Amino acid sequence: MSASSEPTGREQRILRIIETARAKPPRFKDERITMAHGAGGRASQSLIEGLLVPELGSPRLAELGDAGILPEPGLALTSDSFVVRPLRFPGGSIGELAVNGTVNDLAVSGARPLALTLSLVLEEGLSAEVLRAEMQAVARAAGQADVEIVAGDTKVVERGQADQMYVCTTGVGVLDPRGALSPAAIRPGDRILVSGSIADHGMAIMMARGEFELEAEIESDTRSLWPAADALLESAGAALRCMRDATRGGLASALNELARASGVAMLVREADVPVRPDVAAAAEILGIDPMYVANEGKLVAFVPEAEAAAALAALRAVPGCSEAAEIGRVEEQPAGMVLLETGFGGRRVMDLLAGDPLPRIC
Amino acid sequence: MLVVEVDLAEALATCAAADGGRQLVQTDLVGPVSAGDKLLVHAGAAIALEGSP
Amino acid sequence: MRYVDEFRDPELGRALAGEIVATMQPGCHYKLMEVCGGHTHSIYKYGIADLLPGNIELVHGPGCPVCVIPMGRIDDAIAVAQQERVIFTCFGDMVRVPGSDGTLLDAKAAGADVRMVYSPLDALRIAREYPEREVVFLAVGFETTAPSTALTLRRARDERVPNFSCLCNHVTIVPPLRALLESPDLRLDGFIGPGHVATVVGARPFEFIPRQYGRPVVIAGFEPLDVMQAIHMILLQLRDGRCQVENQYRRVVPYNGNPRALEVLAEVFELRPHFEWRGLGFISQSALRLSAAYADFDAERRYGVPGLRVADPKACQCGEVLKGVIKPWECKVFGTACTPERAIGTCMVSAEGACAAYYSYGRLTRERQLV
Repeated sequence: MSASSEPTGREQRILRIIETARAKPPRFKDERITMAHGAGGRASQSLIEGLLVPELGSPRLAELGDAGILPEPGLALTSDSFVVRPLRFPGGSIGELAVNGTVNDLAVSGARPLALTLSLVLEEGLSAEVLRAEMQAVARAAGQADVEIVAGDTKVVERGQADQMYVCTTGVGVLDPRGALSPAAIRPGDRILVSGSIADHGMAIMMARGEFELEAEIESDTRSLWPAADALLESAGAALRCMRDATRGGLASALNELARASGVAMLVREADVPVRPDVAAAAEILGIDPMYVANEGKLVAFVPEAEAAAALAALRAVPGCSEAAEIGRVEEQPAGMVLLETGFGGRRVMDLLAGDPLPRIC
Repeated sequence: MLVVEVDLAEALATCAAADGGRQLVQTDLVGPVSAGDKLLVHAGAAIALEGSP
Repeated sequence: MRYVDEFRDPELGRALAGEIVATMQPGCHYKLMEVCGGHTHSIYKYGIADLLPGNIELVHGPGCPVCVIPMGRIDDAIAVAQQERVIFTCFGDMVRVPGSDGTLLDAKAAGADVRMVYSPLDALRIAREYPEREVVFLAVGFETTAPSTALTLRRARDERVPNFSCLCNHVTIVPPLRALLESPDLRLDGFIGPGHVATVVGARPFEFIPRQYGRPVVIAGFEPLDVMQAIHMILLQLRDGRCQVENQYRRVVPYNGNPRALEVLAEVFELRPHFEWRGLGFISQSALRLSAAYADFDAERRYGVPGLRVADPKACQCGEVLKGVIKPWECKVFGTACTPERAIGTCMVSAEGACAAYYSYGRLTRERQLV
């Protein structure tokens, strides 16, 4: 670790080489798919940018938005799959995740969600009652999100080939004329907002997998983000730069993706990021950083400094978003990177995780 | 790590693990523990009780 | 997030930083080594270096047990993992360490039964669950983790579990420190001592550092205020002309260590005459193997392992980084041919390796005031 007060010429050159390499599309050289490729960190990024996007050859896909934008005829289209275990957890189940996750990809892309398709891959031996309960959850969530399930498909695979059930969706929404959202719109000086406390969902899943009870019940935050997106579009209009939902890989991954796509730097103040005390305590006990833990009902938004106070007030007025906060600002350098001002007062880079977060041994 | 359950005869404690599951921790080196204790654990063995030398 | 925890209070951090500055000789440059991977992690995680004046340089030492394992030992592990009926178990950190022809993760993706465990006890449980398979545990770590392996082997022996064995790569902390201090190209003013190793072995084994090499040592805890207080204590010693082992981590570390841990280590292990350390060469009496009483559980005896010495890739400068002689970014392949995703050397593989830590966290140094 260089601890000199000014980086020397050589160090600067090395750092520039690293930044140039990071800015290039990663090359995918792995021979096989590993669990790391699904974790939402660096390996996932290399799979998507290094294999999937180049092979599929679509310029729209290369934008790597949460949804595909079709300006003619003014629609947004998205796709999602859900492989969560356990199927049911405090605060929701796979059915709700499927609806809200898809709706949210559309909402943060500035599209009012309209309709979903639902594809089910069911494992032989799945209980009919479990399936019925999940379809009821889907129907409830769709009603709350004001979307219709208009088409679907069902497949059954042999025992052991799906973890009870996998759910795949496609969502379509109508582009809202109030917004002109794009990572490219983000500017130095912009403020970063988050719509509420982070890490609830991931911690709820982890608690649900365990066989013990901690004192507090942590619940998933799964919900439709359209009301929050709507409020921001209404408040900031065309000044709203960009939104993203912070799902797999957590807040840190969402910010890194955007910093990379937009070429700006982001400075986040750890002390201002809302985390519920019981979530923070559980994360602390388990040795996990909440910044990387999945959410299912939270967005980050970028607004110019002048609009930030009004946008935050509008966001806080939305039910479920009372803990919304301004957590940082956009800077010019170091381009493509996210820095964290730690609660202790020092600074560090808040990077993508390299792969599956592996347990530390020492 | 937080102790959730104790098996004194086997010198084992069940603790809250990093993935939300249970981890069995060997407590031979720190003597009898109780639920609610915080253990300094390395590779599944407690080498000290947190908060006391 | 609010850190109400007294060990992370930013105001106390600032106050302590002020006291550190007040203790320093203006214009003097201090080079302090932190040995333990856990301290590397803390320093980066909290951005502790940002609170220190520019005249204090923190140098990483060889305290990452994953980082020091030579490629030949990884090849041995992979050879065992590829044997029929073997279930090969190891800690997560180990699966990405490169051997001469790939990692354990690569071997797993190609069909070897490699399973990540949190503790050797998990591996023993797997052995009980699969009596028809041979379960091997790759034991790695300093004296912090060796007791866990020892306790597990004791249980395996007491319960007569026939299908469990251990491929032992445990190392000890004192010999590499001594090797570092003997090295002519190293200038250090003091040591931040490894808090968790000391929990097992005590503060006593580090007495040789002030007595034979004239450098102060302060055993430190892992919260940011622990580390800063330890730095302050080192500077006080230097200012006052004292040179001794002090214990900042009194709440956990006893001077004589954990007697039960030391006893089980002596029962289950013996010192190898010598062991090769990545980048540091052969160091005598620096690593553990199973004692004669536990020969039945020794995977090296049970399986034929190639046991070949594999030279580090020519480009690899892990040794110099481990000794604190060069900074990560001074290595010729850092950030270009060697990155966390495609690591050439072990300093880049382990999250606490100096190179991985710098790459992930420390790439941006803030301008710090000189005193």
